Amino acid sequence: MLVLTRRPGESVVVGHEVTITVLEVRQDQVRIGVDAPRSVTIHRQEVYDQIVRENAGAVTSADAARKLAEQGPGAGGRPPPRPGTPRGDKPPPDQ
Amino acid sequence: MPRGLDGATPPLRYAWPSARGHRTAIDGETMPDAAHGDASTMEAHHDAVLSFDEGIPGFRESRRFRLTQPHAESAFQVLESLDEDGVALLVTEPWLFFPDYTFDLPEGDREALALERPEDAIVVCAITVDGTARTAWANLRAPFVLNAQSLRGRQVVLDDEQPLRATLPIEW
Repeated sequence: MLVLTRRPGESVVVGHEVTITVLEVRQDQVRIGVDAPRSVTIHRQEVYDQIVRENAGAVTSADAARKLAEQGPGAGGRPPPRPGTPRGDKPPPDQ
Repeated sequence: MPRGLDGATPPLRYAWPSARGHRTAIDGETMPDAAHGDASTMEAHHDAVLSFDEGIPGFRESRRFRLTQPHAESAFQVLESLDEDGVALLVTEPWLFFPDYTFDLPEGDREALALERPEDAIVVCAITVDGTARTAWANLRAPFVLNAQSLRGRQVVLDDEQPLRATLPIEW
């Protein structure tokens, strides 16, 4: 791992398009700004790791997945009902 | 201005029925309200190669996938990697089970997928089955979002408020 020392306001450039800036240091917290093309995904490591773990737990062989799709609930002419009422006209919920 | 993780992203909201489920697309069904006059069928895309240019979290080498419907009446499909043996996911259209599911596609993902409208997207979520407990859950935090035209896709990582494990309201 490359280790660099930076002060607040100073940056690190990764490749040609990504700049990481230390914005603020306060006790045991560091605020970081990332300037990158919008198509580059940026996640907190723990959030990304959760998805990695979930994917690892969900992945199975193609044969096993096919079997599940064939035998699981909803197969054999009993798909779960589709929602009866379109919800597009509902105002979006508050975030 | 640096883009911080705390910064808000402009929303492109995905909710039933504005986003198409993949099953609708594959089967060429029309939506119940026939809201989408342009609802093209995906029959031609059944078994087509789907491009995930960055792979998916944990499986970065899997750049190409195929979506298949093993059973015509099943609520579930298979998203299968064409690049890594033994990598396949059981998936479903989330709105079949969670009609209130709503998310805002982050701007960066929208741009990367060149998605102009939710109705141009195919959305499926990974299902994990616990055969012993006879339960299954859907990963609503990281849906697979595809551009139905270009067949490019991403596993989008949403904010912490979406459940990582939403139990399906059925017994497996």
